[in-house]
Amino acid sequence: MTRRILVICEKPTAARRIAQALDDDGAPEEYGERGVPYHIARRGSVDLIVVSALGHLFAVAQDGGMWTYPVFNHAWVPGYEADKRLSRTRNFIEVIRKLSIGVDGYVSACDYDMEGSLIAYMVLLHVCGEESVGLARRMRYSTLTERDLANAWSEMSDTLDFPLIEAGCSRHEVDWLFGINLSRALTLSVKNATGFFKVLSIGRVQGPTLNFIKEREVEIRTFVPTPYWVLKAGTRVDGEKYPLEYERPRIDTKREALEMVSACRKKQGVIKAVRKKRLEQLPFPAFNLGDLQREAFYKFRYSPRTTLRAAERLYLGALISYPRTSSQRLPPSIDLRGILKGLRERKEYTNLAGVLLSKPRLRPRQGRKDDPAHPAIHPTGRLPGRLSRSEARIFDLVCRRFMAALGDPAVRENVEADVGVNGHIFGLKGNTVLEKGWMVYYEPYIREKTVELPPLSEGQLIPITGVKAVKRFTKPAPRYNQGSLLKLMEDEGIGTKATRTEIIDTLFRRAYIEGRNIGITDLGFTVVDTLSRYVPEILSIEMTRELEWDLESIQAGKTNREAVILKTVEGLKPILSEFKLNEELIGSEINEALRRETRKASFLGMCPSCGTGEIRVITNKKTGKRFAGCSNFFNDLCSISYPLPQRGKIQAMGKACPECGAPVIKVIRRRRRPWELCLNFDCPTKKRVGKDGG
Amino acid sequence: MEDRCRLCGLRRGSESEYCRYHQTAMKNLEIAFENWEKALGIGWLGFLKEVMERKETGAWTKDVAADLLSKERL
Repeated sequence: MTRRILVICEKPTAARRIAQALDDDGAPEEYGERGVPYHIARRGSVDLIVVSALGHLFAVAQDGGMWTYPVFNHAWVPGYEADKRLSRTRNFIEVIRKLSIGVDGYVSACDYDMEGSLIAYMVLLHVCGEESVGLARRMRYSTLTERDLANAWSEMSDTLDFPLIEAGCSRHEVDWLFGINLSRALTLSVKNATGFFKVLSIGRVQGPTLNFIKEREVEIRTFVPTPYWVLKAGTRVDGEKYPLEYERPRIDTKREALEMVSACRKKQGVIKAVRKKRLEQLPFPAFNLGDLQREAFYKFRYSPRTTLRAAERLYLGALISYPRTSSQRLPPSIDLRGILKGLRERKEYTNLAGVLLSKPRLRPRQGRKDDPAHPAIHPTGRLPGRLSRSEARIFDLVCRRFMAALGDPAVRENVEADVGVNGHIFGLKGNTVLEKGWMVYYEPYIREKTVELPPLSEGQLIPITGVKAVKRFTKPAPRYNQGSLLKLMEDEGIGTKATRTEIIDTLFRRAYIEGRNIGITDLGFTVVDTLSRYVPEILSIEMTRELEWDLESIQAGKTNREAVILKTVEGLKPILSEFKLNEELIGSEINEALRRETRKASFLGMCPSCGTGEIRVITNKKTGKRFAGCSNFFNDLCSISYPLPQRGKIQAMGKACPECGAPVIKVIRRRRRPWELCLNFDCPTKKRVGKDGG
Repeated sequence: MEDRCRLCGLRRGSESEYCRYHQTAMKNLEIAFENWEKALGIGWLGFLKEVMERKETGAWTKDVAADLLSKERL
């Protein structure tokens, strides 16, 4: 009788690729039941039932009890029981249960990382039965290419990777314990203090991250600029103009700056010394996830989420390797020549890959960061068909960075001349690229500014022109953007490569932070400020960092899940007691911020009719429709109102219509161009458009 | 309302009329004034007016500067 093995994959797209790679003919049978696709692949004498999960099918949830805190009793339950939005998980669980009946073996073929290992383990434990866990084997791969998958099948381990599973389980439980308790404490503090219910959240990584943003905001809002002066001058050599830099980058007093200007103006300069330096600039290593997200942010302004999604789609298309990696290294096991041969077939890379292939030996630049599970992100050598704009850009970035990592060092020459002017020294600086090396491969993404200086010699006299002192002011530190915030989290060791993007997204979703240059909202500020006064431990970076170490220790087999969970519970108890003691104060302070935010969000401008009221967005409780009305309506002083578009986000523009004085608003709708309009339906500007424009 | 910052309404300590953030802004103004005085030979009022006009100046610093200027006018 044919043996039957159940192969559990993480996502439907991955399941299809795995089934194709493992089927002897590359054409597995495809089936579907209740919207759940699965495949039957024949490999030798074995039938492989390749089925996919939908990411996590199980989640941590409260095990009985009321909606209160502290809550420590928890259990793993089907996703649809934990969260209504995960209703699709029910069909997947039931179809897998049916397919698992009577199989002879199990294989976990989910992505090789903590989450992937946990997804398959939970399916085995809760759907296929406890005994399946002991029978299951694990495939390990970094790309979804046929070659890699076939290797993973022949070299799979005899057991599941239990330390990884333990660490994954613990991470979910620790995060749940923190998230549920702190978020409930926050929400209930407002509800108990004021009766107003709004879901507020904070977590063990969210808290410190929000605190970083708040600290920066305080720095910016309390900043006082200080004046300083910069001495500017220029020279002309062989008919070309060159800027000169004064030896001191800043001069602190106006008097001194003016003295220097008068000392140098209309004088000749003498070249005192000329220094030349050749520098070898090594290529960048191949990307890890954080590097890729940052580079895509700076080059294309993509959020970390957009980059991750595009990279995941490329991975599922077997175009690049697994993107959730910390590694900046390309191990010898990777077939570099094979990949380059594949890339050579693409018009844009033909010459570049050809040059690399002509090298007798390929030695990639290796970065410092490593990841035992996966190499740095690299192309697989497969060529894409049609890609979306973001996928195409990320693919190009990954390919070029990969080729650059295999390139020769670039050679630069820096020239610096000291120019003496009446006792003051100015610098004349130039830099040129002598050999482009790896820069050839990464050219579209390099912003190079080179200045080539003419031959200079000591004692040479040069004219000094345009001497002036420019007044400048010190600037505050810039706000974080998504790239720099991600880097900060990485440097501070909070969150993981897989969770950092999600944390930033959550802070935006909760309306704690806003904008491309991330600013903190009134609500975010109050939440973090209040917590820092009453329960500062929640924002403590040390606590969350220590927990990260504990979770890594589980993976390394140095501690176990029970010990870490117990430590978490014991750590949470005093924090929650402290919270309860100050609940009313915390609640009333946050409620004030909530009210301010609501008021700010509904304010459209001053009333043009009464002049004292504010035009606000009002929602009719019966019909649910919105309109704009004057706040003085409730005092019987003004009855002006305006209709509002019922769809889209409405934003006050902070200005009044020059024709009628009514507030001007912006309406933002998905996939449409935002448009500005005057609130007044009878505004003369609109009538004019009607007449002239039809 | 005695325990509230006179500029933003946040809670404050009894030793100052400002909340801790406006107090920080006040302290920064005092420190910066020494540099401005050295750099431009400017007086306190002139300094406050200049600071109010700079786009680099923080919002809370501007609150404090405006408050100090209005007190001077009184």
